Amino acid sequence: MRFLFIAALLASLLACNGRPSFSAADIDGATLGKGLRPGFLLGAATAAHQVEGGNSNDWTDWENSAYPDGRPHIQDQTVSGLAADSWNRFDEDVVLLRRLGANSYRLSVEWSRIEPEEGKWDEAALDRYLAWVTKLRAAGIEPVVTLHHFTLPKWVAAKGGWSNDDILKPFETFTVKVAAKLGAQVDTWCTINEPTVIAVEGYIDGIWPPGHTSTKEGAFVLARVMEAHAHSAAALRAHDTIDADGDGRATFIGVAHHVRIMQAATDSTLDTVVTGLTDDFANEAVVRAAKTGRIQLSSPGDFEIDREVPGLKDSFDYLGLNYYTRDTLRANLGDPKLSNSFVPADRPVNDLGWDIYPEGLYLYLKRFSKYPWPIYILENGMPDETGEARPAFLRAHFYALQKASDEGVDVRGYFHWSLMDNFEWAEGVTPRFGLFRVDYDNPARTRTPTPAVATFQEIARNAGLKPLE
Amino acid sequence: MFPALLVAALLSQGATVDQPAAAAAPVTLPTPVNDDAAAVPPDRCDLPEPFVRLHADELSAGLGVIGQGYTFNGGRFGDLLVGGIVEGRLVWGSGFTVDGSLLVPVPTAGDGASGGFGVLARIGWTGERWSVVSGPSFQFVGRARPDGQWLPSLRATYLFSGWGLSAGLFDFYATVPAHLTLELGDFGVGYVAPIGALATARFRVGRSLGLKVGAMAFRLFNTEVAMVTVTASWGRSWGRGAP
Repeated sequence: MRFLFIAALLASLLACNGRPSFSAADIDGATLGKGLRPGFLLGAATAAHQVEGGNSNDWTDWENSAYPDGRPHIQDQTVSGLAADSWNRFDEDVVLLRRLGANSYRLSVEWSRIEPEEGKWDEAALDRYLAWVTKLRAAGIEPVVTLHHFTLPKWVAAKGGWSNDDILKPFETFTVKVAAKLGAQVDTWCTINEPTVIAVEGYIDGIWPPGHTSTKEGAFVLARVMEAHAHSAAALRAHDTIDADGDGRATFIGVAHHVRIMQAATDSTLDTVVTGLTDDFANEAVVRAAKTGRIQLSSPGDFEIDREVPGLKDSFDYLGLNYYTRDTLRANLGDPKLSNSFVPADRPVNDLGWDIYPEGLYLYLKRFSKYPWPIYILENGMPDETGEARPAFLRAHFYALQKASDEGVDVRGYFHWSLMDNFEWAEGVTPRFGLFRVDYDNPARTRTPTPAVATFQEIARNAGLKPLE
Repeated sequence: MFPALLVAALLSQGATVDQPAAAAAPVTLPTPVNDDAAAVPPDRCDLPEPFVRLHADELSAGLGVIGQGYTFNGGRFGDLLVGGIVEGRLVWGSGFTVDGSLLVPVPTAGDGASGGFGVLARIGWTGERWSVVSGPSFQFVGRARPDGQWLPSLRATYLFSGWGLSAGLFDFYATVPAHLTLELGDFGVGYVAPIGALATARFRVGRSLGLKVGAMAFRLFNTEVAMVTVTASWGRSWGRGAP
């Protein structure tokens, strides 16, 4: 039996080694955008704190403070400040979307703006968000609204933020308020952006607020974020009962799950084990929890979380994926994440040094197609100071999506990150992710198209959309 | 480099490798592998059994295939590497033992785990029924950050009547985290923690030559590793233990 076991395992490992490798000829020869599913959402994405400007929340406190050793929290020492001033220039942003030929826009609502103090609601802010989504729908652009995109009101942060259960009820109440206000215009909701990133950056790596560095706390935070999602999804279904687009459903709910290819650096067993554990935590735990209704997280000898969360099992209508890059991992048992993540020297990288690996998008579309939900790519993009590299990036990644779609994967949307340059969290405003470049030196925050706009327009035209001339 | 020194040391003892004296002697006892036994007279009837240590000098070289990866919902992501192997063991007359290996894996596909080399260098003692060796393993991969990785390694063996047990930590080229192996002559079958198995076999080709085959597979958390090795071995003589 043991010989059979060995033979079977070895054979399966041999069989799974095939990896896609996209050639430039394949990508250049493809008619990108053609043959996608009817109703495919092609758009761009932003987040409130990164583009609106004028916010006051836990992140603005973080931006204006430093680590105990004096290092600034924001690498380029900028603050979100006015950002792209979308709060006052949303109409311009709608024009940008129409120039792209987008039929959808993913944006977020800012909790700290809507409820600046506990129980005190800013109805004017809510009215403005309602006006935005109404304008989008009138322009033929489906709004996809994210409820939580990394920032917390200061009063929530003061209670511990995601560190304790006190956040659950306020987030549910906030959801009810937004659903009741925007539900007539919004059907597609993203409750929480990147649950694992909230846990890792803020509670394990400590490079985002609140700056904690505990693997165990990070795991409990991830579990709590998923519980908050379940409560939020139930609240959306209860309070958004209006079918805005007439497709027979009033709500269509998911999360934006950040995924990264996890590659063992070497054949070392230690590297492989650490890579497997990291993959499970970073890529699999969230979707497994949504499928089973149980949150299961563990670290050998440190903690074990295994509990059922009411409402979690049926909370996804779709799976949103945010894909940017690949991590190559070398074991480092002294690090809270158990590994060093790096990019081998000979790999192509973007301005932040992230591995450019479009095959990873294809691999993850195939991987997550085994779950019972349609998939939306809610974020994909690159920081590119000159804008010259982005067209090839966009083409290669859309090729990956289209290849997976052609092979039967139920992928129903692609949102490029980002519509315009924005405040990129701990990296500040230096990384340029925008399809449209924002002039931060100009108070008017003028938006200028980058070369990838033409690439996006080409895809839109092939998909039957009509970019504004 | 340690394996190179080991090879050189083995070769330096080459004059004794094919010594015809013991084979020509009119005895049917197992050929002694230690100098301690050299003085045994050729009359077997009234003599105590010669002292034969559990292991003897040996040098092996061959190839290994390594499959490694992790699993997720309905799938697996991994790499396949093919590696050259050199390994050897020196047992001095006092029982002092040096045991080492060199593994040089090469990935079969680009964009995956990188190749480098791994050295295992252990020292210990070998008696008539037991052997213990321990020491570090060092892996160097130029593309990795950091490029070097150290791990401890251990193997202990005890021979009962007709069968033996061996246990190891980061054994077999530092690939197997923990194992307990039953040894029966030229064959071994083992348990690899927490879920896994290994098997070894040695086929004698000549008086000093043999073919060693090993296979192992294990699962640890969501990680799966499998390895098959085939090596040709050359030794002064066979010891009493399994491969």
